Amino acid sequence: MEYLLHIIILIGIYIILSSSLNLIAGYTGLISIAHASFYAIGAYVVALMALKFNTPLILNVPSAILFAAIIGFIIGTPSLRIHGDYFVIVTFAFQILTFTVLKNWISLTRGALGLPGIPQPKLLGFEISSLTSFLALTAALCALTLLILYRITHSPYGRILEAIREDEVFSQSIGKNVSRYKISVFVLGAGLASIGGSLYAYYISFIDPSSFTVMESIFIISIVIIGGAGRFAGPILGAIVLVMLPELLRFLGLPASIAANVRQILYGALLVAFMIWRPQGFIGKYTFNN
Amino acid sequence: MFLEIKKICRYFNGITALEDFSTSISSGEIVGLIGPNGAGKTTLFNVITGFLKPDSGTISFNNIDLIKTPPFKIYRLGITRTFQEIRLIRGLKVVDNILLSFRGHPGDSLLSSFAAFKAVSKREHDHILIAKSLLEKAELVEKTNVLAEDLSYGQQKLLSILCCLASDAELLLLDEPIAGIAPEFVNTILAIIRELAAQNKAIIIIEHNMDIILNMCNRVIFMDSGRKICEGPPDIIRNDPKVIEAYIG
Repeated sequence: MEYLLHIIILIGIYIILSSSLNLIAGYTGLISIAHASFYAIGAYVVALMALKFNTPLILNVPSAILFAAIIGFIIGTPSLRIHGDYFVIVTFAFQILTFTVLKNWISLTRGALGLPGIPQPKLLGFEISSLTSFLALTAALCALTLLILYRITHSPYGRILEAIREDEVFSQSIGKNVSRYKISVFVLGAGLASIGGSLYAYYISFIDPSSFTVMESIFIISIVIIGGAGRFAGPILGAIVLVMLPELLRFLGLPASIAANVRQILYGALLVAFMIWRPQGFIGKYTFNN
Repeated sequence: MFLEIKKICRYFNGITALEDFSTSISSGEIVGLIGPNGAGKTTLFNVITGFLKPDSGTISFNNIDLIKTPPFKIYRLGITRTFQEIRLIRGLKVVDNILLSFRGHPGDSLLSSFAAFKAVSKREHDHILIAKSLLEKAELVEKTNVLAEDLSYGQQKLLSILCCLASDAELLLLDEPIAGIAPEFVNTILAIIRELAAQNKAIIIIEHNMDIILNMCNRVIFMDSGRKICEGPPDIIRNDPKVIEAYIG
């Protein structure tokens, strides 16, 4: 039972991460490999605030969102003014940079040793320490994130995002300030991704840079692509499938050293297979080939 | 409404696309732009709408300098265009393409997704009604919820003109609006263009079909190699030896 709750909490965290990336990559067509950076920013801001100042969750999570959004703005503003593939390269570089900073700014992040003993959060007088209370917190933050994303994607603003994904030139010709929309969406997606990081830091109570590598970014974008980019339910389905899949491997009784490698092979093979036979993912409507 | 173009030059790697091009257009006029392929007609549209910046010269619209204005702002000022190779949001529904084209929707900003629900939904409702009436006028009502990519070529051209209508622009630049489409759509489109002129809009049309240009336009500009060769009423242009040479000789 505990094991099942643990899996559900992880799925919740990945739904937040992949759904926020879906806004950027699926709806607006901006492929970003920096999502684990914003995941990391969320986790580290919350962990450092909780450890150093003992501030409450109600202050830490919004601070993390704000900080991630500001970093998103600084990265997005110059890079989104240029076209297409360059943006992917900038996000890739930023991802590498984030990891390097986390690993080497030892006085702040303790580098590879990580930050242990992140205190259990309190919310409205309740101490969130049991698995069920964490599940409730995850469900609440997940619902909040999805509600925000639902409103955005089902509004006139969301319609413009899809227009930009389909044809930037036409979008400009009908009066849409394309770079402004792209920046706003990147900032928003970055802020929402940090919520996933906050949850992760509180839940595991230990973070280190190895959770936020470029592999993690690729995992998150795999969830979006395999679930179905540009569809609201796509990343939700993708997160459920991709988080559960390696868990199923456990029941095959593989030794731990082999299981980790099999997991990587499985993700790679799955991504290649989807790219060839079903580029729009399970339920998506957008493919990244144009 | 008054658009004034003065001495526009634009070169691509030493090739002349536009040279010393000047003209002006005011409300209620339909101006035909003719000339062989590569004469600079589409380049002129790109320069007016801000997609290309000229190397020299000035363009003003209602006394606003367009040279330093980005394309999306030029649209908001009231200049709209269609593209020769039709541009639409193919993955979205026909009605969404029209809804995207309105100017000044309060729902266009991010914050409006969370506030001002009433104002947004009221405007959205109004826009849907206008979009429906436009689709009725064009006899495309049954395609309202079809994806734009599933329309025929002629229907797509028609839709791109409906998008211009939704913008309620003062100046419309139509790049070959009737080239390559079935006769039934030609009449619909021509009727729409005439109605626009009657509403005191200004229209510039690029078209190769001389009969239609000579019938519809108040004024015709003949271009070749980026230069204006001659300009005047259709009757005069029809008999200009340079035009006759280009089109017949």
